[in-house]
Amino acid sequence: MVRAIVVAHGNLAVELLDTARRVYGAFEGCVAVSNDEKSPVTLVEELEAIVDEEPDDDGCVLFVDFFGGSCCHACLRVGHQRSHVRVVTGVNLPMVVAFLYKRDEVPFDELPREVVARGHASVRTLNAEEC
Amino acid sequence: MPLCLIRVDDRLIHGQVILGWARAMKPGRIVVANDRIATSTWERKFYTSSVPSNIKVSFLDLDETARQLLNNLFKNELVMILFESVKDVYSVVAKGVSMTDVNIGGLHYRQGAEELLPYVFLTGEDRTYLRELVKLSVRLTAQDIPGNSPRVINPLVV
Repeated sequence: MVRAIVVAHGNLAVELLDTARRVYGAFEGCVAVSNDEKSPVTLVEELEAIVDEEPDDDGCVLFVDFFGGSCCHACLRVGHQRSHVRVVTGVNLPMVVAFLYKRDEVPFDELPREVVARGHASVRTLNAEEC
Repeated sequence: MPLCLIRVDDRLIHGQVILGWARAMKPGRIVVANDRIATSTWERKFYTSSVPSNIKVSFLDLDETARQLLNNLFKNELVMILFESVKDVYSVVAKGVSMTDVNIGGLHYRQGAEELLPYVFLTGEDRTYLRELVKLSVRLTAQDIPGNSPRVINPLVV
């Protein structure tokens, strides 16, 4: 199974996964991690422990709340020398749900791009006339 | 070099620095003073890509940071300097650079560190270097973002 770790500031990661459960239903293989009060070294070690506890999985996607922050840096450090890890930034609810639906359907190498495309498609300005 | 901020933050360039301090102080350049990152290509690219294009970024090892500060090489720019640790700040001070104010912006939990503030956890080694800075009359101000109140922590670390 392809696994996911959502890494974000505050309670965002745990809330994203909890909310995804209401939309998708129960799922496994996803972990929420916050960077609250953690040094970069502590955060990297925590992520490495989660990634490496199942080295034979089908891959692991690290979802990060925003590009350029400390969560993102930690994920890049973890993914740097691990070929089965991918990092995706700007995570939102449609992306998490898309990941859950697509992880068994799409090859791992194509999965991040598909999830990002879903994220892009969900971000737009709207008014009622243009829907 | 006009220095607008000397900051200790184990996360170096991140949201609080770009969205908080750089917006408030409008530096022309951010200097990341760190031996490891000065030689890590992907980390330099990563940090550079997270800084708005109107702010220049330099990655200097600690020797070069001290040399540039002593020789006033950024004299026409407003500069913000970021250190990863108190030890790194002290190593630059020990090379002859004088500092009056250092912002303690984030030293998060590591093994053996004790909480002073929610974003400041100190190890015994941190305290040793902080005491040395206090002896040199450096004012140590804990403040994570510009919108929160600053707190002088000199009496808490000696």
